[in-house]
Amino acid sequence: MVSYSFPAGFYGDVRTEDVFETGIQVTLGDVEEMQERAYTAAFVRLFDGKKWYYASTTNLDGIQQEIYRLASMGTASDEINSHPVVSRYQVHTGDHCAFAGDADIAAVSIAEKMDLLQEYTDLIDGKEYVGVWRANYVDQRKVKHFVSSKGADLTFDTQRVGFRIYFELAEGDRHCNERYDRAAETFEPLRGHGAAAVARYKQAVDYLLNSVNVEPGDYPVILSPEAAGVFAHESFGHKSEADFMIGDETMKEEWQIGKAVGVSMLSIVEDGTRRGSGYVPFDDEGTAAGEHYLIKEGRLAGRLHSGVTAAALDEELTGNARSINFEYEPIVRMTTTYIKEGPDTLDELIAGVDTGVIVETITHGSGMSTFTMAPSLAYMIRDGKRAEPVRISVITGDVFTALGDIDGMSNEVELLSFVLGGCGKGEQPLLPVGFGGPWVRVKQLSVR
Amino acid sequence: MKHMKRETYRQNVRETSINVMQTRIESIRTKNITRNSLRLYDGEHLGVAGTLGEADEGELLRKAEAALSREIPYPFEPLAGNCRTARVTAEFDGSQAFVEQMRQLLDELRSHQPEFVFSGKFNLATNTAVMENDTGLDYSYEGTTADLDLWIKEKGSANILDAGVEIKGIAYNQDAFVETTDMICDAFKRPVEIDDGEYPVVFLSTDQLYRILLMRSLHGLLFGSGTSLFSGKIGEKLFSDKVTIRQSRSETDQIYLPFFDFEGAVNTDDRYTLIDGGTLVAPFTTRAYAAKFNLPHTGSAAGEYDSVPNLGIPELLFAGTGQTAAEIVGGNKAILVLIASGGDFTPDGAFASPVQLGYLYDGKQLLGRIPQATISSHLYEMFGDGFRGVSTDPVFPIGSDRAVIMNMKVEKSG
Repeated sequence: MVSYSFPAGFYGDVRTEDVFETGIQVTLGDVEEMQERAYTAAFVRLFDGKKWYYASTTNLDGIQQEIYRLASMGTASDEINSHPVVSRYQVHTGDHCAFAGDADIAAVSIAEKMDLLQEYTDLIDGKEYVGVWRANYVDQRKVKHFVSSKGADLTFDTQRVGFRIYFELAEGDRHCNERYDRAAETFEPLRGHGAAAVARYKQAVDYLLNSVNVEPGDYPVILSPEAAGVFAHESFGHKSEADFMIGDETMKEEWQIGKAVGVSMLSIVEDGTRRGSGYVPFDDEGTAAGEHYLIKEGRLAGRLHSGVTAAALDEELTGNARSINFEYEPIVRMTTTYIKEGPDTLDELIAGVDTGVIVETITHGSGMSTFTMAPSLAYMIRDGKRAEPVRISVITGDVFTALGDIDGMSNEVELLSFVLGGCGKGEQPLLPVGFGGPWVRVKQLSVR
Repeated sequence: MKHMKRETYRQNVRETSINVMQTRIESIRTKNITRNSLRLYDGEHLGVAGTLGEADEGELLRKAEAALSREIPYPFEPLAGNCRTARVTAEFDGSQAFVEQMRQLLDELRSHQPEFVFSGKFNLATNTAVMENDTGLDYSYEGTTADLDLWIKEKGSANILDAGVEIKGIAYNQDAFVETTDMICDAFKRPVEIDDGEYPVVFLSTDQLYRILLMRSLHGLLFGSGTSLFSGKIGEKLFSDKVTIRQSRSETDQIYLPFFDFEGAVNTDDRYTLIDGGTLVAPFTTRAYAAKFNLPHTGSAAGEYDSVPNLGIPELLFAGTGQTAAEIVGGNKAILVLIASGGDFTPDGAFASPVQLGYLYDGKQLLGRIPQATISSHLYEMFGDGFRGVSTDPVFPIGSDRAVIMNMKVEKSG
């Protein structure tokens, strides 16, 4: 096991990432990429109690020198170990890998991965209205070794495996694009989804041929687990990231634990231990993940922390300090964020709407004080029944008004994982996260 | 084995990155990362292998030969070329001076705008790209650029952020940066009402929102496969005479990128015009898509250091239309969009977006902050009859953003 010498008067840690990944891309039958990549690299942090000093490096033999170089930039402190940030850091040891041996995706040949992708592309290639299609297979296993000056010496891993079939449909001047994707932690669960992929294609064709522009206005909207999950992530999850609150008394006041922020049936949970693309048993400061309620029964219940933010707000660590890769420092990020189930069935939710909209898939969403989502597949609801497909540019609403306007949620939660895309924050895009929830009905949102 | 031709590609980034929290330096990060790749061409296929850090040439060759054996179609020889080198340098005297100048900037921002806090990143990065091959191509580029990106939050606001300011490139002037933040913050404190109606709406030229569908429709794969709104329309007049859009890698346009694309293609004057006076000239393409769909080759390949070249999203610039922003606005009150997140087009071109932060604007000054609003139009209206022009003058005292101005429907939210 590698050990490092951390200078006295500093807190330090080293995160080494051992990465294996595969990427395959096929477009209109042409193989455009078929690549395996493996590398090891490291991120070094040093803290003198006032400032942090970081270095990212591919030179593993030079890590000790990087530690000394960073120390020369700071000023040693006799009090460093009692600093509120440092004293909070957990000290875990041992091997916590879940994907070693037969589960390691590196043990599956790239030929098998290509064969799997081919099974799905055969279902789309040459189909009516398909102008262009692209299929991607992606996997990544990342083994992290974390050591700190406090004595942490920890190895853990994450793995995600999946594919996406993206297709553009055209009929005259009518256009539509849609996707079918699956993600898992190992290879075998990716098999056997052909019928679902074909069903998505057929749904997209119906949308292409029959969708009409929505009449702009305010409507009751039912969000699918995918749309509700993005709503929870973008609209509330990011606001729960405590780095936005540091040094801001107004934000602390605004975000007091226990404050009512939504209807009483609403609970939003953040949990890095949930398996899927947001699974991270430890964060990049060596803190163990766990289940944390952000909203419990309509009231603010917690927020997400790194060591710096937990110390600043005098709260406990939550295991949410994450970086996208070895080139970046950990910052406060989500893992798997989802809305807990409600009391209703989906049929009951639809039956309760006279004229409204149901959103099945989306292309993107965002959330500040106003949240937005751009639906991909959406339908009108008329007289309590799903009706014609509609084209919608954007659905928007005030976040807190919407949280208070939820008037129904289905009784089953679906958690979604993806291998392409991810969460972006500042300079760090595409962080793997999971999200989901039940079907959620909101009394009124703006639909354009 | 057939005769193979070789091409090497090397990237290096050396970066000093400052994290800003509460208008103070919170951390300093340094980076020096090299990536190498070797490409093997046999005239029908391409094999690529790469490595992080210094390359072991024997290992790279073995891996590239293995990649070639996967027979990824690439029916081209490496592009021939000559020797060309380019170098640009930001107005900072090394990383230590950069840190000190940024500390001074934050001191001044705290003094000028005590009612706001600033967070974000200051990056000073030197990016090097070198491509060489057996057919004489020998290109190298080194660019040192700064990216100063601050989120602005009014003290007492319950929002995560209220405004922002970002500059990218090589030019820096502290007074101009502070003057720009003063404009944004001072006008933020002046709420103004507007009536619903049609306004000249001003986008910063680097904003992506207003051109999402334009970019999609100019994508060579979508165009060639018949799924773009513009498919089959090369030579047709699509938009206003005032709309000229070019792809650029030119320093003249304040674009600081290697002058060659990921296949080694170089355009005349490092530019390629895609829409000229409203008429479609070409979508953007790689060699493969140009050949597959019989389209002009525009040199728009991109990729990760060790990937097969694929179609990237190039830097697209709207050409100026010969007037200042004030002249284009023409004495009307315009809406300048500073933050508009989450909007989109429908597949047939209808556009709508919330505007989280917009200002009333006369073409020179920010007159006040408008309420949250929704803007809407249609692709062919935005760049057709509704298109007013692209300013010759920058919107702010610092940065390269010009004003892209078009008439749109504006409605207050809620």
